[in-house]
Amino acid sequence: MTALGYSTADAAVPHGCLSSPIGSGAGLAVVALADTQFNNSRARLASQLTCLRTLDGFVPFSANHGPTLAQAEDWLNTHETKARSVLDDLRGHGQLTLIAAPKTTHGALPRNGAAWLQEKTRRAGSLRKRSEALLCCLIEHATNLGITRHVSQIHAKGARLDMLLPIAQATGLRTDFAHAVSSSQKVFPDWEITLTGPWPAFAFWTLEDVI
Amino acid sequence: MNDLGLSFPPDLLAQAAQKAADAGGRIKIDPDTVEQDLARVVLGLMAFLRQLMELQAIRRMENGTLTDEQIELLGTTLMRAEEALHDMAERFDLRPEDLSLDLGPLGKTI
Repeated sequence: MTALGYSTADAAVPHGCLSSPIGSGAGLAVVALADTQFNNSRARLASQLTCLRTLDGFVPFSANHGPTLAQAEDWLNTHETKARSVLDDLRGHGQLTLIAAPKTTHGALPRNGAAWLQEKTRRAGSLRKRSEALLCCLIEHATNLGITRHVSQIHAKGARLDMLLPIAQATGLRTDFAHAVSSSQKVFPDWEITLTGPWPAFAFWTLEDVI
Repeated sequence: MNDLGLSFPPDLLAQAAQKAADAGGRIKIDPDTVEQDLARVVLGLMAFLRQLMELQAIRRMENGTLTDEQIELLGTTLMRAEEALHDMAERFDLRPEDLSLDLGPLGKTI
């Protein structure tokens, strides 16, 4: 099993990409993806997209992460309102994910302890500022394409941007955004920018006490 | 984002599961290079921990909560720890970049 998802009980029926519902509570169901159905990641992506198009909502969880099926059912039984609200919010949507990391490497560091740490701190600050500038540019592109909901992160190695978009328009928007990314790379040539997706809207599943 | 300023992709769980599934859920060990492989894992974890400490030190630098003595001490310690790790890696014919463990969708450790 590669993932658990929450869907409406009515929709959680076997239809090529899902096994049978494995548990249900209060009108929602926990459904499972069997890894034996997928022999590579492309097949898995195709399956997830089918799920996105077919089900009202589908938010995968890793079975490896811990929730047993019984735990998932218990959780669903006590969080129906929240789960339904999230499913309603994400219905018909997927996400594009963009990961950006700088290509350039820095020169040698000072050999003195204090100077070494100060230089490391300076570089971290510089990377953060460059990440902010890049994200600002990319978010503007996304907004121009009508993608208004996004989640951005700046971390130690670069930046990440998740964008929520209607799954029906995912292919077209991805192509358009890829063009925008290409133009951004002319402005930010020292960045490696990778665009992936569409994926199920993992980054927008906002329940705080998820299993 | 956690206290150390690290962040992890929100979809990592599902992707990690896929990675595990793709790998058949097994760790591959080559008997001819087992010493080097083990050294890579152990040193890779040590390098990862060292980097976490470095990130925390940077955060404290940015917050201005370190004295000059602490900056000198932390900087020297972290710098020498990095050198020691690279020296040990070299003994096993490993390059510094080999200490970056690929955690699949989580990315690389360092």
